[in-house]
Amino acid sequence: MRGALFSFEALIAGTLILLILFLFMQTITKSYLERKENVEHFYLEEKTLMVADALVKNYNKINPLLGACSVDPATKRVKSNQLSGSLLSQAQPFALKEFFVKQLNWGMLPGQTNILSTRDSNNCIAAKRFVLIDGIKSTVTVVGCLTDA
Amino acid sequence: MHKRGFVFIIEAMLALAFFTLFIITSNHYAPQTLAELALIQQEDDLLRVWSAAPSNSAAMQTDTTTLFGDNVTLMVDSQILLQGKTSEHCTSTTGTIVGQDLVEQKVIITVCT
Repeated sequence: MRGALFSFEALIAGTLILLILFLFMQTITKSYLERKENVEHFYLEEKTLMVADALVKNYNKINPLLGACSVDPATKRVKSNQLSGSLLSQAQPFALKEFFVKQLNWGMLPGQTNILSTRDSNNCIAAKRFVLIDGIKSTVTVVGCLTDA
Repeated sequence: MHKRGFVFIIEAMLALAFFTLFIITSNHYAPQTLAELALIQQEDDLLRVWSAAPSNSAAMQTDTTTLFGDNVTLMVDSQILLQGKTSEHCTSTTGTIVGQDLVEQKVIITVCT
């Protein structure tokens, strides 16, 4: 009789402990997946904003995607937020470890598009900046993506 | 002997249950995002462009709406040109634009999400 009682108690306790462990593991897993997704998204956001900021703040002759500003020859200074349309057209592909720039759009609608990569991705974001392109107010948009796993 | 074992199991189970409850309830994770930085950069863009290409009030309103839609409040020299919605999550940028005629314009751009 005592043995039967002990088994029944142990069964209930064991089941409850397993249930608690299941809830615990489920919470930990969910939390891990949320953080992992956030880290990936943060990486994508950071790199896309970084490229867009470089584009409107620098002058880069090799790859105008990382700097398409015009330069004031008198002061020899980069004119921040004042871009050259011809430089934008010459933008080259840019990629880091898991990140690549898919396309560059500029001008008011319909605007112009420079497709820099034909790779497909389900994880892309756009960074829009307000600039002067050849003296005309416009927006420039950098579309950055993560490589699909 | 049998009773002591039973008490131990209940205690251990309760401790585990409380620990799990603590983990579940304390797991309020706020994702990190750079959305605020993106807004501040765009607000800064407007000030830089208006500084380089002097704009009247109508042009300023058009530019601001183009970039932020209806969620923006634009104030120039204490005059509200655009009144957008307000919320708990707002970013604001203040700048002074000096025109070629050396007249100062104080601009405040506030974007709420």
